[in-house]
Amino acid sequence: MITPEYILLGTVVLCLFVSILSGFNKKSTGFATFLCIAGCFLSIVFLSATLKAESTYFFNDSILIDGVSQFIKLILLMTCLVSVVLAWFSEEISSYEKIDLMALFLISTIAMCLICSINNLLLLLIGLLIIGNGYVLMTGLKRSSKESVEAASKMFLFETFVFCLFCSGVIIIYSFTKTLNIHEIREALASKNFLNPIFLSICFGLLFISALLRLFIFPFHFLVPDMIQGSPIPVAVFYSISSVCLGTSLILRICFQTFGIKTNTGEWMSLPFMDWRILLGALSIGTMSMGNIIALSQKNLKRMLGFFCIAQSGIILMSLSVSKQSGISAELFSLLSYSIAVLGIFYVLQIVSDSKENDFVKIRGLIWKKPYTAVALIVFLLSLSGVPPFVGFISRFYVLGEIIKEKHYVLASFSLINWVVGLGYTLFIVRLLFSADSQRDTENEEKGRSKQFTRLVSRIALVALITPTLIFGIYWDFLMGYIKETINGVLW
Amino acid sequence: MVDHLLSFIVFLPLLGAVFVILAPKKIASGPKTAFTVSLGIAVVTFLLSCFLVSQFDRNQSSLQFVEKQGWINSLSISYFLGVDGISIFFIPLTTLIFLLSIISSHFFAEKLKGSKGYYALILFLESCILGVFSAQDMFLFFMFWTASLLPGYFLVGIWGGKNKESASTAFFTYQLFGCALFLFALLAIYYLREPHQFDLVALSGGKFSEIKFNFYDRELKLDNLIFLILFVGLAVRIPVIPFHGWFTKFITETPPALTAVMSTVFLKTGCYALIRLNYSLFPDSVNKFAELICVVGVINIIYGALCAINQNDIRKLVAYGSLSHMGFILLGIGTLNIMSFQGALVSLVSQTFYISLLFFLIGVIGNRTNEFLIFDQDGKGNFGSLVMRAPVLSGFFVIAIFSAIGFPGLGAFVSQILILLGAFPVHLTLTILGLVGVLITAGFFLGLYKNIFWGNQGKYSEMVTDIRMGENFFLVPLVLLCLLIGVYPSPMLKISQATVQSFLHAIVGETNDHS
Repeated sequence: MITPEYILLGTVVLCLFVSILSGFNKKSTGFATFLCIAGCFLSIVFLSATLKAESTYFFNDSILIDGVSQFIKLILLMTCLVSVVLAWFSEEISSYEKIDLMALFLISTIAMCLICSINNLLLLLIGLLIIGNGYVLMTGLKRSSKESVEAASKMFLFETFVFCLFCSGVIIIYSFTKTLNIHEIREALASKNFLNPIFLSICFGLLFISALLRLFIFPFHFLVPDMIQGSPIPVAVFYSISSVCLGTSLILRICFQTFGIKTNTGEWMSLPFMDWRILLGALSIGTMSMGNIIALSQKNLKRMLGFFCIAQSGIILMSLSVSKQSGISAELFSLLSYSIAVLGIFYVLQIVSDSKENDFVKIRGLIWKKPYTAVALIVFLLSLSGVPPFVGFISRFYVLGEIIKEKHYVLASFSLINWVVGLGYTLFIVRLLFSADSQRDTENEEKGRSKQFTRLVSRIALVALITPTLIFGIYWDFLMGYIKETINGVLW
Repeated sequence: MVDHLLSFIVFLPLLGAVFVILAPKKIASGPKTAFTVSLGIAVVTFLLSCFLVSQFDRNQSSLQFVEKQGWINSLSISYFLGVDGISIFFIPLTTLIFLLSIISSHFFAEKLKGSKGYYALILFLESCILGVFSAQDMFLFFMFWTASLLPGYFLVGIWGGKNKESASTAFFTYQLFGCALFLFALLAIYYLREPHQFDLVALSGGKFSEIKFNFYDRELKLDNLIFLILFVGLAVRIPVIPFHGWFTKFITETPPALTAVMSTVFLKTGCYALIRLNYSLFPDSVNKFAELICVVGVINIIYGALCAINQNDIRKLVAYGSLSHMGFILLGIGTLNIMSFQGALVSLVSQTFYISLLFFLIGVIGNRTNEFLIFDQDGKGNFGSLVMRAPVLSGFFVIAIFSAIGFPGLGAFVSQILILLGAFPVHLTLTILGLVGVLITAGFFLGLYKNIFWGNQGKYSEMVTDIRMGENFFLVPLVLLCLLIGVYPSPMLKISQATVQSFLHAIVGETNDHS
């Protein structure tokens, strides 16, 4: 059941071994890339084969494999694969650093895949530590760039903060329940009448905030735009998706699995001392609104996308505020559509950008220079903004539907207002693509990246990302059916 | 083929758009090929829509050419198309206006940059609008409705006038606001009633009137609330005052060949949606808010007409005139009797003819002079004395303007008479105000004609030449249709009668047949 993780681990070892032997030259980079791509691809194949497997505990109940964790793993592996391809093409990263970066992607993905299935708080803590270190190293990889170094320093502080919060929460909860197994903790919390609910609330708060920090939730979003702006594009894309997946997984672990009780109607009720459902709703409103409003005034494209990602996290969180199976289905659907769109957007930015600048200049007038690439970018942007007939709209439709079904009209109103505002700056980016006065010479831009093979790989990757954006936007029944099926089988 | 005729009509332009975009350079390269392919597709679509009308059974009030197929079974969404006596008019109307717009693009936008994209977007827009007129599933309806914004935004944003960026952004923002409300209403309709479904036929007939809900300790009737939310959402597109902010700005920046499309069939989707959704889903609320709709309509008539008086830009003047005439349609459908309702339907069609003709003629003048202002900064006329220089252009302009005024035997005459006669016994004051609107409309349209075609020669008069041979292809059909609908509207009235009768019967019960 955890074969994908083993495959990735083997790939990392092999990749580093080959690179050390061949002396980190260009050829070894190519070979390492090939190995990483093959490893990711193989992991995806193995994972797909076990997607519908029944929920099972492993390793003395420390690992719980279920449909939800497998689905999130699939998104993580997909992200890792695209990030590796992006790192290979990247001109921001030197040749020998690419192998390091790819290895970091793979190691972090292994840790994240494990976190998705871990049923033990201590293991969860170790996983977070590995990922935190991975993020810091990735972000600071572009050592020549001040922004990158600054982002890495901030990331280090951020990760330390997350670790401390989570560690404190684990210590408190252990002192109460004398166990680190999530399943046992939940049973203990539900059955015993604790004398001191304040301590438990603090404990919940610490764990909850550390999860929110991962999910870019307001007011814990402060470093996200810096990180996305400062990192190379492959790192930015990996971070913006994997962190959201991780945050979602942690919210499910903490709120639903640890501090929630599943009723017979398929709904998760919060424990009496802390109603996290209202919290999730309120935080989602704040995150969406803040992300969208601040994004409007951004002058740097990557930074704007950072705020865009924050706003999207708000929508993902909103679906979780409906603490029902249908809410989690909507959340997983949103997570998938978000990932595809973000991968696509950053992929296009990678194609058009160089090591010097990543701002709006590069995409100005793109439609006249590279029409198909520009159309792809428009499709991804519109999908992320929730415009039909793309998959992003369907995810919005489900999230909004769940909210309205539960009669949370205030939430629904905010969501709709944010939909309109979010489209405002999406259109700003789209308009730049049509700008007539491009000051750059098209031929120069083609320099250095005119290799047929590179072009072919780029086109294949773009087609591979556009296809689900369109297909799931028009016919998504089987995907949603599958997601619902996975949630029906969860043991928590 | 007849079984899937409606699907062919709706999706043929979309296939054409994909072909225009993806065709290899050997087959389709350059503006001429893109134009030829688009023209071919538009002609075939128009012929198919004419065939559809010829096969329509006017004695039936129910849906015809129905195509229903399960789509997203888990949400009970189906691919459900069909036309009745109301929507049947809009299919050939849309295909005709798009055909003429494509022809006019050849003259107005000869050296177009990125013509493949331009024509592909026009065809995509045509598919979306045809989809709106034929969708009978609310989700499908919404998909077409929202998708139609994208080509509109890009066509104006890329190939529009000097202020295209702000105009297209205003357009999209306003429209999205409307879509957001529409989406809210759609989800509420779906989730708050058992069984959950989007089928418009199954949902129609006042099935929401009994559902109430508590909103902060107040009991609200669901149908009234959703009716209002949906009405505001659709009012943006119609456009109803005060949601018209995008319209005039957008029309002045739209490429001349597309002004006809964006100011007629695109707006008609709003009126059609009001009838198809609000009227069929919430009959009780319609009864309650019918007077409000009439009042809003009269405000549109007067406000639009008053704003038009002071306009110096010909396009803005006609746009405000169009806004004013939209008020008549609202007055007609708000009166809730067969005569007014049929008058509104005739108005929807006739308005499309004369407003399109006016915009095409303005496009011809603009194409020659690149100027749309009636007076220069010193107050001197930019045009003037064109009647001698361009007699055919002048003649066509007279027909268009007199159609808009509602001169007997031309365009708006029948529709305005039907609407005002139907409204007279029910809303006397509003009818009188409507008549005042007609007088103001006559004033500013005649003033426009005088300033352009009579008087002293202006700065640009010499540049204006008469209608060229090729331009007749998109002008003459509209001139003939303006004349035809003015003197012989009875086929339209007969086709729509059965549907309108049963439609109004569901709303007001016993109806008086005035037709």
